[in-house]
Amino acid sequence: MSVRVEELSKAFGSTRAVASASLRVEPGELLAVLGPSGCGKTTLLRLIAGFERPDEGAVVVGGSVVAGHGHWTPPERRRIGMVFQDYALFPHLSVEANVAFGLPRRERRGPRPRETLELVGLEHKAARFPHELSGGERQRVALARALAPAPAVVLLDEPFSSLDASLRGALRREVELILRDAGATALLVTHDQEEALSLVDRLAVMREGRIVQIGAPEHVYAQPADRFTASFLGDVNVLSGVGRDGGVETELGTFDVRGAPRGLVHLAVRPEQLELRTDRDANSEVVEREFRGHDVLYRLRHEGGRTVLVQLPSLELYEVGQRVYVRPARTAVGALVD
Amino acid sequence: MSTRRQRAARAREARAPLLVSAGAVALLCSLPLLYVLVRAAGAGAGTWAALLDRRVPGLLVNTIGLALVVVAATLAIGAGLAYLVVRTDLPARRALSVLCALPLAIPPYVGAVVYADVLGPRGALRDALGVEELPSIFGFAGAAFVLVLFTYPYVFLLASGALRALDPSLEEAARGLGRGGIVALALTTLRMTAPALGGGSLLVGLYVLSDFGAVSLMRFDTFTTVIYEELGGRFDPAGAAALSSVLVALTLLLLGAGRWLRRGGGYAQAGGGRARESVRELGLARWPLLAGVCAVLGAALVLPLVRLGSWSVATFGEEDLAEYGGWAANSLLVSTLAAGAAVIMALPVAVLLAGERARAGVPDRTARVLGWLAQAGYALPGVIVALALVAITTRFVEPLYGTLALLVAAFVIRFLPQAIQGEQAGLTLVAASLGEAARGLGAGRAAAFARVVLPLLRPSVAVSFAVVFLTAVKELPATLVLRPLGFDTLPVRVWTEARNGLSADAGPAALMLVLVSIVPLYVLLSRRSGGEPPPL
Repeated sequence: MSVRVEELSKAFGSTRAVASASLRVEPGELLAVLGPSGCGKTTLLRLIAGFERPDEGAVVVGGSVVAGHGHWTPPERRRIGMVFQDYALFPHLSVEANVAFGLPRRERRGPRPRETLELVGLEHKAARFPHELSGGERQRVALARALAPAPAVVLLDEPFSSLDASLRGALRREVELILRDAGATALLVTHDQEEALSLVDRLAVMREGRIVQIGAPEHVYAQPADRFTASFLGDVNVLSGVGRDGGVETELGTFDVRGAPRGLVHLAVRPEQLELRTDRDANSEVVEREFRGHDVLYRLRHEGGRTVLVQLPSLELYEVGQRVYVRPARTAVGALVD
Repeated sequence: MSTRRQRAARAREARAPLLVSAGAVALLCSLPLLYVLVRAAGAGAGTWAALLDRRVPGLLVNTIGLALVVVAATLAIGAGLAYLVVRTDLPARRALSVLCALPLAIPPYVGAVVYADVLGPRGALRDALGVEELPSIFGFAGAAFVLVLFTYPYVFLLASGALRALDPSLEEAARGLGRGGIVALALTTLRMTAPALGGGSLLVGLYVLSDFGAVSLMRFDTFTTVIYEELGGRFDPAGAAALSSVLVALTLLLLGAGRWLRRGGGYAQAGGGRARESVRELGLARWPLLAGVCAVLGAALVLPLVRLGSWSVATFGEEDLAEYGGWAANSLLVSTLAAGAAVIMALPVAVLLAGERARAGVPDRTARVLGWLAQAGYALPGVIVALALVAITTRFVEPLYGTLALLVAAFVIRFLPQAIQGEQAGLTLVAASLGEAARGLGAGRAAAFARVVLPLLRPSVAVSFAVVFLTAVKELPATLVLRPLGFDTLPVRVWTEARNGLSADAGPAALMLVLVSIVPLYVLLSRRSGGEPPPL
């Protein structure tokens, strides 16, 4: 089922945590709300779940208004599954009883809890208690508990933040597969751009209570709506340039930009959209090299005086102090920003 | 779109059942307080003038003087013992740190029975010294002596807990900065443990104001003994209420002073939890200091236990054992009922206070006021609760007078604060997200509470039950006044025998009482040394 958030606002005292935010999650879709801590994304999630009451705006789940327009449906009747950041597993109940918690009384002893545990691959831990599980297992139990009552939508609050970095990658994929297997509509909030970019169908970037951009991860990454989004999703060079037909001319060369206005503009260029050459007259010097294994991030000082970030595969290495020529990669596309 | 007012109305509606039940509890618990204040206000100028002229000044001097002396002495003994067992290389300090707290298990009136005999006109000390007559133990000196011996553990427990948690590097830093030994100790350690010492003094002060048993056996007149006599003799409700209102004003003043002292909150420390050990070497001074500690323990623990033991051995041969069984059963019955009722009635109040705190940082005004009223028992000595309940029932619900239910109600009013605080502390340990998770899974407010919060709260409910039970089993003044005809409990027997000059006959009942509390207290103390004292 779909979830629609319409111009939702919520203030705590004089702080507007959510300020007229709107978004829509399509049935079966996985959508991430990405933003720095304190941007209001958790409040947005709690408003959808019904743990907070909106000051203005509405929440619509599967066509019925659950909050706003004079309606109020308490959280227990919203058919929403929530996976909490700390998982909030009931410590006094076994894994199976946790998963069965949200089912109608007669179904708690039926096959559904086992089936859901099988979905997350934990049927062999049914009789254990939460404190006997690893972090990753707890998370999967929390997910199974949320999925068991077949909710209209699953909300996940920073689902991977309390896991070891080494576990995160594998679990991310696993959670995605479980959600897709279950055919669930899911909304997750995170401050981890890697998580958001790799996991979801669409991405909503949130800042100071507003949704500033929403779209496919690759689109938001390549065409950020503003400087904030550009830099929040990864390293970025913001260059000034002059708009011409079909491109923008900057001190590093000309970039393809469709529909660039004429005159002075700002361009967001990712470090991997630049390349280095040594077979021409140098225009920069390598100041710093950050070796990341599969790739390398170089910090250059351009002859114009500005610092330029360049990311390259680690096939060929440049030394600190080396003089190089930097230019747009052949396929480089810049994004206009404010 | 909804207005602020509509939202507030909805929020009120959602917790209406909670407010109604907490409100009912608060009403019951503040009934004695309201009665005393209303009745005292209506006492009339003549009554007040007579009281203020004749009775009140002397009682004020007696009561306040006793409280001041006892607080000062317990501070010195409690803080001194705590420093010795926590921060020095005193021999056997670990065992001593448990032993020093155990006198808390001996109700002061039991101590008074023992010392009225030992130091009395025909006591063991006179025989041992072989003199004709000792200076009288009765009066101010005896009351103060007994109260100090059996209440100093409040200060000791809080002070030693604070000293254990205090990082010794603070003291070392002060010494490193050139503040030599004693000065460093005084400036740093004392300053840092001041909140704990203040808290301990507050408990002692409140105890002294409310004590009836020890002062009555030591034949020293304070507000409680005079109010009790009013109840027994020619009952003048207005006069008794007026006297009570002065005593309540004193306790409220003391509570207010406690709040004011703690206004800055605790001192935050890096690291938190248990600090590393740092021990000051006493050198040769440790032997006289050890002798001093042993003297305190001898007076507050060994001598009473030995005396009660010897009386019991002597009495058990002659008296009917079944009779003691009956009194013990009565004590267990009334204390169990009181503890059960208290932990149930404390729940809505604790939920209201903890729930609001979790959501908004501070409970809102309604929750705070209900919380205060429900905890009025703090400011209400047993005789006042008894006085108010007698007056209210004889006037409005006569059939309730002299029933077990009324006695249980009095216990609940007095000891509900302990249950509320225990459960509130337990509730703060239940993560808010657990309740939300339950609601997200389709459980309504009540179901989420029953299926998740309550099972997780079970340990603190059990502890609250135990604490109220252990306090209730020793309760004397309200039991004396409110018990059903012929319903004798252990404290009542102890007090009655002692009042009749038959100290030896009080022995077995007193020993049972002490053993009931000393065993759980010992277990509790050996498991975790330090921290908050169990309120007894």
